Amino acid sequence: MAITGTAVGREYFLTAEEVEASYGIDLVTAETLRHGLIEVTRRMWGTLLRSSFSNIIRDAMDFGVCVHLVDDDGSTQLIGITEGCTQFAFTHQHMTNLVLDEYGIENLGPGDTLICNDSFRGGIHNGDLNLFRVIHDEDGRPAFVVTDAAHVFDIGGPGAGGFNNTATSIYEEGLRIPPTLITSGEKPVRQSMNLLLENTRSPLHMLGDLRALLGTLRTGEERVRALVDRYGTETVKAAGHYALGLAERRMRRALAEVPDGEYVDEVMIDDDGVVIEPITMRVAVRVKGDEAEIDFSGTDPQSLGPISTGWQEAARSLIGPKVVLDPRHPMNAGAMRPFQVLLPAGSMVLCLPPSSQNGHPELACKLSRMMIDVLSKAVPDRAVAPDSGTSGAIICVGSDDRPGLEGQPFGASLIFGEAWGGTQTTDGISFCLSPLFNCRSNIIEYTEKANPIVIWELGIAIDSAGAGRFRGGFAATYAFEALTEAFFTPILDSARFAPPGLDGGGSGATTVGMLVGRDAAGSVRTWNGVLPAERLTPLFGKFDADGRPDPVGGSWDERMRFQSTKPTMEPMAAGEVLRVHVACAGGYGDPLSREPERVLRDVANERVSPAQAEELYGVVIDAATLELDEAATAALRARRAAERNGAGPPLSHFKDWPKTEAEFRQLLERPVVGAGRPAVGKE
Amino acid sequence: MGINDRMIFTTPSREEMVVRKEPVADAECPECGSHDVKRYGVGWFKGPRMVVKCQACYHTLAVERPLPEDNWPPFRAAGYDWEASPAERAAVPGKD
Repeated sequence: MAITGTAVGREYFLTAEEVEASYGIDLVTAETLRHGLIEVTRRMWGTLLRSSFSNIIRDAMDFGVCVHLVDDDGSTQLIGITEGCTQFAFTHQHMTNLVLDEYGIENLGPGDTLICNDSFRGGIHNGDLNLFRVIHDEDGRPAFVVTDAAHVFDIGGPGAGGFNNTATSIYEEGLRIPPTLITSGEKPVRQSMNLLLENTRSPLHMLGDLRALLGTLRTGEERVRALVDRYGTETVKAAGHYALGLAERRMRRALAEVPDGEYVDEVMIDDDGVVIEPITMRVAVRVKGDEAEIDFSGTDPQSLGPISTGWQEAARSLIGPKVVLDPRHPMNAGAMRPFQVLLPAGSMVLCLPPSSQNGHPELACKLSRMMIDVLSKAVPDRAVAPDSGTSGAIICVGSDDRPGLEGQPFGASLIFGEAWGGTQTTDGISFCLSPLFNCRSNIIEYTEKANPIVIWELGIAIDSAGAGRFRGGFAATYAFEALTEAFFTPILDSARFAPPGLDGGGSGATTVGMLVGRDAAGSVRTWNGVLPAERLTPLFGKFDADGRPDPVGGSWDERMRFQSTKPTMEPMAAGEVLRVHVACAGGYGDPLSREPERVLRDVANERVSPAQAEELYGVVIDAATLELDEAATAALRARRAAERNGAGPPLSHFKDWPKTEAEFRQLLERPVVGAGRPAVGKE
Repeated sequence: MGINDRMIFTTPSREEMVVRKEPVADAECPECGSHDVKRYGVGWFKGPRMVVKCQACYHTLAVERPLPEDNWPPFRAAGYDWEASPAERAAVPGKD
């Protein structure tokens, strides 16, 4: 029995002569077309971004655009993709094969388009519409496929905006669409269009997005045909195979540098939103030569709540390997060839129908973090400390009542960024979404224009990033007000289990959510993300006895309105202000070895308080003059090292949250750190 | 096989959270000579596949399309093997 589909040999580099011998085209043409196929997707990207209606598509870039080639057996390989939501670069390779295998690629002609959103067929969740259009050669044979996917405003079901964190079956998620013809010979199929438009809360957004997705595929086909017209079908396909082989060889070379062996890791999810119990996922990565087997055996059984996933992790589990092993080369299916993924049927990573997968992002964020963690053990010089492990998002929906917009549905996906962990050479990235996404943070002005929402604050919470020689990044803390009665659905986790540090680094602060009362002037102004406890109403997360966020000494008890970060469609009165602190990332390395100048810079920028500088980093700074006391620092670091006795640093969080308005005022009236001193540099 | 068998499932027990691997009789790994060769379902870059693989050195002997009796992946549409109707072949030149 021969292995199929991996025709490339064991050579990791090919000379120009070998390229010509292997693929039948010269290297210059191969490279020109490799880039030309990516350029096809850039054109598609521009079309979709400019023409879509839902804010999560055009604002947050929660979409993917791809071009694939068709092999002789009718299977497909993704040969070009550009920016967008990372996970589609992996799932669309699988989904295109699953959908076309089921529908029959031979049943599709020119101008036909399939649509599917089913996560048991390789989709991500019902809210993502995936479209597939086959491009035929001059003899009418399928030669290429262009595909796109986008997260639309609403897909029906109990949870507006596409998320129902209380679903316990797929029937509670919204419309499930098996592979379905949506255009036939360029004409919209009326019953398919009507099915979609009559099962959403906003037909306007749905029709706009569908037309954008269909137009994007036409753009893709036009650009592929322009390449074919100039070079010929066989040459373009040969270049596609060259691109696949190059990505495969690069990934195999990276894997070959990993010592053979088994690497294991596990990660905890707070709960599934329905059953309030922690969930564990486990992985073993077995590397042999230039191949790897990724085995999720031992992962918990599928959850009752909606955060298990149905096939996604067969593809998405490769995001971590791509990020760690070959982050710079453009993604295509070749980079997936060296991996086999083992998914126990009925587990969190391969749930069985009719399980709901509506809350998939929180599993997926944790899984992509676990894959980076496990490969950080295999390749320590590329290690990245654990990231926030959550989407950090809130969906806010309702009916607009602004003049001229009365009665119009609105839906905002508030995505402002998580944080990445520290590395051996640099601090973690702040305000950066999980490696799963690579979506764009919301543009505040645009969000406020499109929705009756005011973003009061987007910033960081002081002292919340995991300490380290290179500290973790700061995730977003944000506060928003609904100007009309609205409903919110958080897509959050990491409120019970803090993102840990790596190699002696400390944990980042956990996720908390709260309603915020106004001060006498009607404001919800903070001091570096801090407010008086007497104006806070805890929603979820850990708070102390005085109602102050406290991930170390606090508890998550009956005082909190929710016992999970995953309620659904909770009412929010007009004028209420909701505030979220997204969990921050872990630090890398012992914070007592961090360059004091880096700590000084964080203190000057009010990212780290002078008190935390002393407690976690052992650095003594005069807050008024921003002068570093080197002698006192050396003495304090020696004392801290002795006190810790090899244990890691404490979890990072601000310890002086004020209880009362008066205490808060004292905080506001503190002398500005380093007042009168020029800025001391920037990152 | 009943129509529900690949569309509706019950939740398995914790003990079943291990990928089931079937021994392959009379197989020998060409790399290391081991007879510990097993066949099981995986996610591969082209989607669901069955691999025949040495459990001693993890050399892959074969990658195959799943057979119906492999039940891999667990979900399969009821109409997967049905002939496409004319309406589903609307734009194919020379359609029925």
